Amino acid sequence: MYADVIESGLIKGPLLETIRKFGSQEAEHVAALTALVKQMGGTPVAKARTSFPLRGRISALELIAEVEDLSGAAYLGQIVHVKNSAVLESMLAIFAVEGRHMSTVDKLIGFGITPGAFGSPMEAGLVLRQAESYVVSGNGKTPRKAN
Amino acid sequence: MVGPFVRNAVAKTGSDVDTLNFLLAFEYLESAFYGAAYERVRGSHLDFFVGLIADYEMQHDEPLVSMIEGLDGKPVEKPKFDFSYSDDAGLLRLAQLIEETAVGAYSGAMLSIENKEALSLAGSIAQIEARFAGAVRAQNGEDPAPSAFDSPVSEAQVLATLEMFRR
Repeated sequence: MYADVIESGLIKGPLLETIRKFGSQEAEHVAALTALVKQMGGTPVAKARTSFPLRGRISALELIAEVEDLSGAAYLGQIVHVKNSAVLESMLAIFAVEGRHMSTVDKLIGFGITPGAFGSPMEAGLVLRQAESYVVSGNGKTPRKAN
Repeated sequence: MVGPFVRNAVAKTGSDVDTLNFLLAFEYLESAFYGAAYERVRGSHLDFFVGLIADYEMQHDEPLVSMIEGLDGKPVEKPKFDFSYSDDAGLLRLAQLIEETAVGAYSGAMLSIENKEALSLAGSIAQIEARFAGAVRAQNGEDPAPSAFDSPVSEAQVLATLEMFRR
């Protein structure tokens, strides 16, 4: 998502540096989780092909805020299910950084730095259904063309 | 020197009640800090920013108290704190230290919480502490997320911060 936003050219100036920084941190999260899954003898999920609605500067920032919120809710939903403490530690290290991203992006789109005093968890099924709206192909499904 | 309040908070390290009390102690510090900070900046350009954090931080105490009581524990007493700063910049530097310590305290404490409801509550607060840590850094002209991975703050470091401001 960050890569697409950066490539779209919709964000310019000093703000672009923030977005680049957050994007590169997200790439580090992907690498860390991929390594962790392999280390535990698992197979990391394939990267899905995605398409994001990028209509303008504001909509790009709103998209980032939406995806960061979804990510924060996803971590909050999953931490209670994790049994391995090394995995929990890695997840919490990422989870806190997502929180920092969330307040930064919320402020950029003119919201307060938090919508409330408590974060809301989201269960995996709902997270996946919401994420599905950005997926154009993957998981063995027939690829369909992005709009 | 570690006072009785902190010793009681971590007297029997290991149980969820002790961990939640450790977090509650830090939340009391945050409530006290922002309560006083808001009185100072009310009506200034920091009114909204500090007021919002103060409002939400104060909401964190009660659910922790209820959770501790629900686990048949006794919540720690609310201590008195003393924060000294001479200007807005000093206030915000202290806010940054406190928020960073809070995020790290939750990251460390959450590794040992076994009760799922307690872990979920701690997580839902930790996320807001992380939001605040990023926002206060940005307010101070610093990078809101200086690293891709946050590190836990040791229990000893959190306790030292508590003692530093305890009156």
